[in-house]
Amino acid sequence: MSEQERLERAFKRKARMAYMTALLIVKSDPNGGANRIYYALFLALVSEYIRLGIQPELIDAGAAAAFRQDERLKWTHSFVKRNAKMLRLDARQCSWVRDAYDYRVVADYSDEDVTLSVIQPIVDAATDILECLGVNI
Amino acid sequence: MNIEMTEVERRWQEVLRRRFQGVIVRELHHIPEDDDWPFLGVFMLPDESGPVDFQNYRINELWKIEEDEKLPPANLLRYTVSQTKHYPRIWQLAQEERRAGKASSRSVLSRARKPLKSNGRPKKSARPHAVAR
Repeated sequence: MSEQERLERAFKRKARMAYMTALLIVKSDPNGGANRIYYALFLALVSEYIRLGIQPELIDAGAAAAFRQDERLKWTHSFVKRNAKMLRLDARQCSWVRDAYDYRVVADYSDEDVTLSVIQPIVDAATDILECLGVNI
Repeated sequence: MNIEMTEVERRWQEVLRRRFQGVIVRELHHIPEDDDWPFLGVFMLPDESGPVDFQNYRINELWKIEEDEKLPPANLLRYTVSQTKHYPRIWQLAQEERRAGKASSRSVLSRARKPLKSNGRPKKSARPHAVAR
């Protein structure tokens, strides 16, 4: 197994676990659910970029700057969510990814709570997106 | 493309006000997240519509407007009227806008409500832009 395949599989496995955790906790802890569902999408997107051999440091200035600090930092949130179209997600799916990110930021940093009514539709949409990205759920 | 932040705020605010009248868009500085995109707060969203309304708008309509009008990329975080009260600078701005809006609509209304003269013409003071000579 190549290093590329190993990384792809590892991120897909982690994406699946983050998704399963989101499903488990979202009703009792919507903030936690918001965090996990975004990372499920993030990890699945990264795994697909890796599978396709996409090198963010060659495409994106922010990713290149992060790469210079540490190679592992090249998967910036900006790059990952901005370029989901490369993975053939449609515009609405890309919009869900951006929305998931924004709610994750609220969940992690804001004094506001993410409510179940806003995060549940994202969890529902994520199911479809993760399948499109080759995550077995 | 390097656009001034005030211009980014202005463009997003202009687009969002087409759907949510009176919203104010301002950059948020308190989020410790490493991201190339700015974090914009969309303040003064109506309490009664709730975040789901904004979310549906974003998923169903806003993405298309973003593409068509080439809006600068940004992360959008929503704040209802009640939540905006916790941001004094924005709240004050919203109140100033509200007062300015009320004042102009009141002067138009009061002119319109002035009774007509017996000959059917509006009274002098009720004419728009009446200038004393």
